[in-house]
Formats: sequence, structure tokens, C-alpha cells
Amino acid sequence: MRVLSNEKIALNIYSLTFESTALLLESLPGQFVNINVDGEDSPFFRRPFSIADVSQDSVEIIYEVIGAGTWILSTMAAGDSIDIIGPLGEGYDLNFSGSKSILIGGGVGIPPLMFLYNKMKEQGIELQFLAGFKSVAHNYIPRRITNVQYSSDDGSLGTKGYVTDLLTESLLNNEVKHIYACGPEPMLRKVIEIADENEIRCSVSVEKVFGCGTGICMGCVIENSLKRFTETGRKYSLVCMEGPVFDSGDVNL
Amino acid sequence: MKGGNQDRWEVDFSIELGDLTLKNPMLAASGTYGYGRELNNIIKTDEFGGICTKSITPLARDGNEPPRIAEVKMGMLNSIGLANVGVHAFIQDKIPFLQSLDTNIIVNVAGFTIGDYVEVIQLLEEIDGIDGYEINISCPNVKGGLEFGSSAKSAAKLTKTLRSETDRFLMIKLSPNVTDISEIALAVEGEGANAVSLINTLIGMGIDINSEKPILKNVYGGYSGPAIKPIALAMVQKVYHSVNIPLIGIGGIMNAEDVIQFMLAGATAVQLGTVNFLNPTALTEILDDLVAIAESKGIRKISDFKGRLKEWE
Ligand SMILES: Cc1cc2nc3c(=O)[nH]c(=O)nc-3n(C[C@H](O)[C@H](O)[C@H](O)COP(=O)(O)OP(=O)(O)OC[C@H]3O[C@@H](n4cnc5c(N)ncnc54)[C@H](O)[C@@H]3O)c2cc1C
Ligand SMILES: Cc1cc2nc3c(=O)[nH]c(=O)nc-3n(C[C@H](O)[C@H](O)[C@H](O)COP(=O)(O)O)c2cc1C
Ligand code: FES
Repeated sequence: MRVLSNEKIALNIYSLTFESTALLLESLPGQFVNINVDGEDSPFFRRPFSIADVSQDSVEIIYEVIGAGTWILSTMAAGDSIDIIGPLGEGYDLNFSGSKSILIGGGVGIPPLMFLYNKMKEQGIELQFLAGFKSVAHNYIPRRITNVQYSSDDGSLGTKGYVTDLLTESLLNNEVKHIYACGPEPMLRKVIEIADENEIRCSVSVEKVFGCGTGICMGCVIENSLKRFTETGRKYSLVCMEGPVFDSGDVNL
Repeated sequence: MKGGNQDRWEVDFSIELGDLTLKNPMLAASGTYGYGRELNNIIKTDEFGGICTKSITPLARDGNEPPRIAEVKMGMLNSIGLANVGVHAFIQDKIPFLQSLDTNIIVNVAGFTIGDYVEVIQLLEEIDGIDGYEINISCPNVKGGLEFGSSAKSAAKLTKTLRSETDRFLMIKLSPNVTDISEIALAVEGEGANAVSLINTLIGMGIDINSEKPILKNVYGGYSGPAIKPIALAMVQKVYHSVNIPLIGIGGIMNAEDVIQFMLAGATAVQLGTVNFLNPTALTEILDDLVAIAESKGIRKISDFKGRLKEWE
């Protein structure tokens, strides 16, 4: 596939777009693509990234440079060819049934929620978007996404503190039916705790190291509470195939 | 093969493995292709000459605790620990799809006792559409799993028992974690194995200097990928000179050149393993590139590469 653009949009954070395909046009929020950043040498595994947006002509991912793989990705330019497979995985449940929803994300956990936001807006779903960043310099959320409530670690953007504090506050004043979350594990755990206390359905997108991203290596497991057979015995679910989005009650984060 | 189709060099890819005929010498390696279905919308699974399934045990197994995969230089470590749905769910949920494929189905069988292997095979003997068994005597991940593979005597005993249970194609998958792999190949040949496949993963370990812990929860894992190819080639070449049954070469195959190297060293067929994780369409590319290599050498029948390794003067 061909890279259409690869631009820095915030501190250490890039937006990469590439040619869309018929298959990718059907991508759903929460699904991911798996990118071979460097042939077969190093890094060895493909690198997974959530789909941030899909249009007729292009697919967007947003990534933070944190190691060798994402660094190589950041050096790609428009016109380069890129080895991508996808869409992969199970995304968010889009059966909204007009319920009030909160999208809550931290750092580079926000891209799948941006895609979800678009789908919800199309359907006129009432939603609140809560976003947490390290600082204002890390914020990459485009202006077209309105009514975002921000938090930041250093107070340079929105409220100083955790994005989960915004969630607690928001639930005091609003009746919410469904929380959609993506971000670092400690944040997800806190979101789940708050959702459980308030008895609100909660969908989380989980990250693990992926060996294949296609459900064949059985490496990306998370302990589940399903009490039924999965692809890999009983105790675990495959994050890349049965997830990355799970109902919070189905997995033990 | 980059050129147009009109003058495409015709290559006969078919090979014989005992009584089986494979349309090409590439099989999917056990544990690296799931149950055959997962990648079917990326690559047509029946393009393979054969599929070796995930190792099947009598009961479902969750496998080892995570982290159970890690990337390392030129490859990966895994300590999956034989996670699988168990033979009953395999027959009910996985076999129907496999039966629908136009390729050879080799069920990989694993166990901790001879009885485990016998139990799985007896149940599978009742099922149509299975072309043979690959016996995993070498999975280094589970305590006791190495036993049958680590001595010629125990490997022979297991082979003898299984031979008496089935007339189907029986292939023994050898462990590289032994002193003399040829001795074990000879022993299983003597008890009626139709072929041997080699190699399974090498025992390895990674360490994280930040946490000062092993990178795998299980401490040890199996090393696979391009890094192990030189070891696998040496073992195939050695075993080729010791036994008469066909060899299936495995270990770090990424492209057509690698396939040819294994065939020159004596392999009748090969298995693609870890490459399926990185490049799910590797097989299609390999088939194309094999045509180009065969053409450059004037070869019309892929099996002509087998054992052609020349000696230094
Ligand atoms: C389903 C899913 C969706 C993701 N979406 C995004 C996204 O939209 N934007 C974004 O910036 N990041 C996303 N990530 C994380 C991203 O995949 C990692 O940041 C990237 O793989 C790091 O590669 P690296 O070589 O630069 O870093 P490395 O130096 O290799 O690793 C740094 C850290 O990244 C994680 N990591 C490494 N390899 C993998 C792997 N194969 N799979 C998962 N995690 C890995 C590890 O936790 C490691 O500690 C997602 C991960 C998953 C599983
Ligand atoms: C994640 C993973 C799981 C595996 N599971 C099995 C298994 O269940 N049974 C088996 O016989 N071999 C298993 N293997 C070994 C492979 O079939 C193969 O022998 C080995 O990986 C070497 O080939 P490669 O370098 O091409 O991957 C597994 C390998 C990997 C990487
Ligand atoms: S990453 Fe291989 S099964 Fe999920």
C-alpha cells in the first residue's frame, strides 16, 4: 500500500495516512491495522495501530514514537510503499440504541475513540468526550471534534490531574448508559472501577504485545471470566482476535 | 516471477510423501497457522501443499501464563505451552472447515504420556478427511514434553505404539534440543514412521535488564525464526545421510531461497512457521519466486532439487 502523508501533529506524535482498500472501507472503530515496519529483521514483529479514521481514499492512524518500530514509521514519506494488513480484531459494539455515552481516552489511546466519535455523530448519538494528555503539547485532537473535556498531568490543558477524575465528576451530573474507554492499563482499571460502582456498561480496548495480530500465534492472551471455551482453552482470550475491545466484565485487566 | 504470464516457465510443484501427494512442497507449520481458518480471508489456505494443525491434546489446554511470546534478534521466543481446544472440540468445531479444504490435513498430536497420544489418535481415526499425523515429541515448553524426543529409546517406543494404532501417514517431529538428532531419526524410522519433520524450536531465554526478570513468565521458550535456519539446515543435511524416509525441513524459512536451501540439503518438503505471523501471504510470494529460481536453473520439477547439494572438491 502507498503512504499518502505522514505528518507530525503533536509532540512525538504523528498522523499517517495510506491508501484505502475495499476491505479497509468496512473498518469499524476499535479495529486495528498491523504494520510491518522493517521487512523481516528488526523490529521482528509487526506493529499494531488503531484505525483513527477511514474515508473513500485513505485510512489514518495516529501514533507516538516510543521505540525502534515507531521511529522507522516516522521516517516514511508520501509515496513510500508500506506493508499493512487489516482491518483486524473486533471493534466497539455499534448498537448504540440512542443511549447516552461517554468516550474516555488517554494519550495515544484516543485514536479509536475519534473514529467511534465520527460514527456516533453520524447517527446523532449524544456523547461526551473526555481526553487526558501529558501536556498541551501532546494534544492532537482536531478541531472538528467539539466539546472535548481535557485533563493534563501538568495542567497546561484543561483540568490538572487524571482524566478519570473528569469521569467521576461527569457521572454526578449525567445519566450515562455506556462508557467506551481506551488508554493505558492503570487508566482502564480506574475507568472499570468507576463504571462498576455506577453500574454502567463499559467497553475497553486492550493492548498486548502482538506476535501476529491475526489469531494464529496465541501469544496475546488476557485472562477472561467467560467460563466457556475460547480459541485458546478456557482461561484466556486472544486480544488480537476476540478483542482488542472487550466488555469490561469479560476480562480481568 | 515478475514477467507476464504468456511465457511462464512451467514447474511441476507436486511432491510425494510416502503415499501422499502434495500439490506443492510447502506445509503450514504446527502452531503457526491456528486451525487453518484464521487467515483464510488473507490467503487461500488450500494454496498450501498441506496444513499441520496446532498440537492437539486429549483435553483443552489454556497454555502457560503470559507473557508467553517475545521478539528477539532475528526471531521470537514462545512459551505458549500447547494451548489448544482439546481433541473433542477440535473434532466438533475445527475439523469441518479443514475437511472442506483442497489440501492435505496433517493433525499434529501432543501429549505427556503415551496414553495421551493414543487417545487423540484413536478418536481421530474415526474421522474422515485426515491425511496423516505429525507427532510432536519435542515441544520444549511443558514439563515432561521433551521426554519422548530426548532419547532414541523413548521416541522409538512411542512410534511403535502409534504405528500399531494407525495406517495413516505418520510423521515424527524431531527436537533440536538433543545430542544426536540422527540417532533419533533412525530409531523412529526403524519403528515405521513414514517421515520425520525437523526442527522444532530451540530452547532459549530472554532477560529484561530493567526488571531483572526473564522476559517470559515461563522463563524458557522456544526460539524460532530466521535466526535458527543455519541450525535447521545442518540438522536436515545430517539426518538426510542417516535415514531413507522423507524429511520435512522446518526452521526460519522466510522466502523461496530458503526453501531451495532446505531441499538441496535433502528435504522433500518444508514447513512455513513464524513467517506466517510476519507475512501471511508469504506462500504466494514463495511459489512465484520458486518459478523464477527453477527457470534460472532450467528445472521443471521441484523435487529435482532434493538432495542436490554438491560437495567441495
Ligand atoms: C490493538 C492495539 C492498538 C494500538 N493502537 C495504537 C495507536 O493507535 N497509536 C499508538 O501510538 N500506539 C498504538 N498501539 C501501541 C503500539 O503498537 C506500540 O506503541 C508499538 O508497537 C511500539 O513499537 P516500537 O517498536 O516503537 O516500540 P518498542 O520499543 O518495541 O516497544 C515499546 C513498548 O510498546 C509495546 N509494544 C511493542 N511491540 C508491540 C506489539 N507488537 N504489540 C503491542 N504492543 C507492543 C510494548 O508494551 C513495549 O513496552 C496499539 C497497540 C495495540 C495492541
Ligand atoms: C508461537 C509458536 C507456537 C508453536 N506451537 C507448536 C505446536 O503446538 N506444536 C508443534 O509441533 N510445534 C509448534 N511450534 C514450532 C513450529 O511448528 C516450528 O517447528 C518452529 O517454529 C520452527 O520453524 P520457524 O522458524 O519457521 O517458525 C510453534 C512455534 C511457534 C513460533
Ligand atoms: S497476536 Fe498472535 S494470536 Fe494474537
